[in-house]
Amino acid sequence: MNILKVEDIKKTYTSRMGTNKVDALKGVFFSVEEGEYVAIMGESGSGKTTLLNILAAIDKASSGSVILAGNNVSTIKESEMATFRRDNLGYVFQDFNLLDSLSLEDNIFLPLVLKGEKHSKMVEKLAPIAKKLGIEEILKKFPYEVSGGQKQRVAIARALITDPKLLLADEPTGALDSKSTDDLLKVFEKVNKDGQTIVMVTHSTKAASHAGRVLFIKDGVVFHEIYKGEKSNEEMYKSISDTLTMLSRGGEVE
Amino acid sequence: MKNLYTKLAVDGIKNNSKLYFPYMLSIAGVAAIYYILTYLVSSEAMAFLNGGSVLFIILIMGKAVIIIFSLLFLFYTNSFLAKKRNKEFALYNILGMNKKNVVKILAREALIEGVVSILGGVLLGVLFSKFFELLLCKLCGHEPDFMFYFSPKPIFETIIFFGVIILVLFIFSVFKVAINKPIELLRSTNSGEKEPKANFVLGFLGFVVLAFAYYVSMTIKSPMEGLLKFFGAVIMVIAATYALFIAGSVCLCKILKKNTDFYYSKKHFISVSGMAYRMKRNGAGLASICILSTMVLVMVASTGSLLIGKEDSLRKIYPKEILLTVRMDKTDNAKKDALTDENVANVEAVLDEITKDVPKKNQIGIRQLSSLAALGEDEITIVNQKNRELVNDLDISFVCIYPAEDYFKYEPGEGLKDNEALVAYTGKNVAKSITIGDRQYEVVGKPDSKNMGTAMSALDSASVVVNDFDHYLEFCDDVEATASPVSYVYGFDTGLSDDENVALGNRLRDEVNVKLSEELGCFTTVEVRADEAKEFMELYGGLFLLGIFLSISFILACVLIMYYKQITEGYEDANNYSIMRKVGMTKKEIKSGIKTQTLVTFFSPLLLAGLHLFFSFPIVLKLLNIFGIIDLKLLLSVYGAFFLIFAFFYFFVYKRTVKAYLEIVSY
Repeated sequence: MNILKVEDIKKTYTSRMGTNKVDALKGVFFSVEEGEYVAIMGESGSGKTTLLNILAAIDKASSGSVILAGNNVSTIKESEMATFRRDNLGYVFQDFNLLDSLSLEDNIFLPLVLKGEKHSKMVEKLAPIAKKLGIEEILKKFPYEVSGGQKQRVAIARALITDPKLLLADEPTGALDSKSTDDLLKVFEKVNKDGQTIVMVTHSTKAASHAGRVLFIKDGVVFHEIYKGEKSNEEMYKSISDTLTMLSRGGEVE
Repeated sequence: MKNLYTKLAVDGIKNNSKLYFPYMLSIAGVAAIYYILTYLVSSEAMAFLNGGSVLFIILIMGKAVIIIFSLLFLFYTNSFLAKKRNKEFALYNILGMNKKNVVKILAREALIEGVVSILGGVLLGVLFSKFFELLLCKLCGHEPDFMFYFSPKPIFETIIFFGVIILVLFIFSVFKVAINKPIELLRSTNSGEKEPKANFVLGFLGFVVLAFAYYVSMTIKSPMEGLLKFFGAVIMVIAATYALFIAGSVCLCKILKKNTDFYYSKKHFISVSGMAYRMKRNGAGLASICILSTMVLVMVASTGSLLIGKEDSLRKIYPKEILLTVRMDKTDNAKKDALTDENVANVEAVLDEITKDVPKKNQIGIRQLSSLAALGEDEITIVNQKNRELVNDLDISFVCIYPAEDYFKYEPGEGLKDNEALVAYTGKNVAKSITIGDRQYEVVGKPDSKNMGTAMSALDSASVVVNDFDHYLEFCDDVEATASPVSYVYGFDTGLSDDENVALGNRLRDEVNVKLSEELGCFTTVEVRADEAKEFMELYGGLFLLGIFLSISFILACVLIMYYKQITEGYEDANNYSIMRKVGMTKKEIKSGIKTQTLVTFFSPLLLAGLHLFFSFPIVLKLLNIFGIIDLKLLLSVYGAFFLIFAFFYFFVYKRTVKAYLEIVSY
């Protein structure tokens, strides 16, 4: 079953006087099955961040539709956007985006507090997630007291605690060293194995090689895609780098 | 290249208008007040300020306070600006501009700031100076002069004074740029601040000290005691305010956090957790604001009520338009020999003779014996050589004894029985039965001060009317009481104009000196209410005007400090709010969160100031009693009115601040 269906998304930025028009997205089509792990790759300026922002309902498309779990995101009213995002999406950022004034535990609780849940229920929900992510020991600490890898795991816990239909990740390994990156990618794999649908935007071939499918975006359209199938991470890594080389040469793939 | 510096300076001011505009406005504000004070002191229209008058001294003192205050205040706000700008300069630095170039930009900025704000201030001052001149004339009871005098001297003085301040501030910023390390400035500010620790001991101590200070104020009995304890109480309140804001607030946040049902709710979660940090950073600032606003309110409200109540208190202190007090005894005379009926009759005859052409209304002529005494609720102990040691100094005040015979000459009534007395205390209650010296009386009422000539003294005192006046003359002689010379008070209203009364007073002074001093050997003082009124008006009018000036500058300071604090926090918090947006907080929730936090930071000092004000009330009332006002309702309503005006102004700035804050963190 499709959990996410993107149809003919276009995004045009117009300069103030209306003289200059820039097409960031020129008609993107793709869909994501429930339980899938999809990576979106592309060069800077390819429009992948714009796409992710539209998926996350932070930005609006100029035309086309995004259907998430049966709801057409583009028809949701501005005032209900935040609530929709809170209930259906989990978002993991490159720079963690944890609030310094809250303990890690409180940072994770934040979306639940906004939802108005009881404290006892929050604690109940947190326990299995904290265990899965290996952050039980550090919950009472503050962001400035832990490493980047730990911060990112806390951010993932915050994204997962609302039990979202879709987990969006924007360069989640961008600010991490290679050891933490490996740990984090394992975490993503584990979470995905438990049934969580993930869409991740990334520059990193290594990060993408863990995904079940990789979409390549170039000049505002989906240019190519690779399925992992039975490939190992290493084989996948190789196919991705080959594709990237092709793309940068500007040549056609197959 | 030269144009580039100017352009950068202008752009710097324009781009940071949220910071620069209030700063320049405040310089203009203080400059205007400075100009007005300078103008008033030097004004030709204010010729009655002849150098030595009370008002002149008040205005000069006020100017000194304004000078010191504006220096402190401008340095403080300038440091806010410097922090923000230095980041930009660090960037210029890294882009290859050396510190010399940065100083050139700074110099142009200072020049623009200085010219615009000082000229603006002077213009504002010139516009309002006439208004304040007329106001002061009105307050002090002088004829207003509607001519517009223009003298360049105060203008130059203001320009030079503030020019120097701007120059000093400029040198200060240059110094800061010189010691800056650009790389440190570029680093982000929110690199993980430690969670504030709650100091429960300090918080609790603040609470206890404040309660004790309030208790002291509530239980003050006499103005003398009030005067002695006032400063102690003020210091306690100041210390407690700082302790409460710095430590108490963080403790409160911790306690709230412990209550999970309260803390983990949409409404409180962000604000409570953010509050602890805010209080840690702002506690001292908020405490200062609380104290400043309390001082402003106490000052304006008390001088305001003195001014409004001046007619009343004047009438209380000087119940008759013309009052002659004749001292009958020379120091070594026995009291009973001095106030004989014959002596009194002689004096009265002389006074009647010299005032025979004067229209007299509400006339009185009454003998009076006053002595140091300790006033208990049911006993008046006349202080004498023997019991002097036994009486506590603090309890000592005055008693004035009048003969019922003289009193009832002017008051319709049946007179008193021998065991009855009329007794009144200032600001205290009297028991039903009272012992005065060696005799006991039933208290049947209070004497009316208008029949006694001299008012109740401002400090604690008692007035007593009894039949046994002669007995007390003898009694005072016998026990060698610490009594003043006995006197005869002769007073009346004339219904004449103030100027005529003053002239009459001067004539009487000449005549009594001849007729009473030389012929009968008495010493006479002549008091004319109209004379005293002038002093009164100048004193209270001047104090009130000064109160207004000081409160304008204090309010300016208070709200500006609040504004800057919030704005700087806005810049620091902008990132946090964008995180909350991404996590799924709605615009509405963020807006209401910002409102709550700003509301608490803004109004907690005002609220505590209101509480301070409320508890200062008893002690201030006692102190004002020294000046003769005891009208509780008046003081209360003046207090209330000024508090509301202050709160209104404060609220306005709060609104502006929330708006600016929302623009900064605009998600």
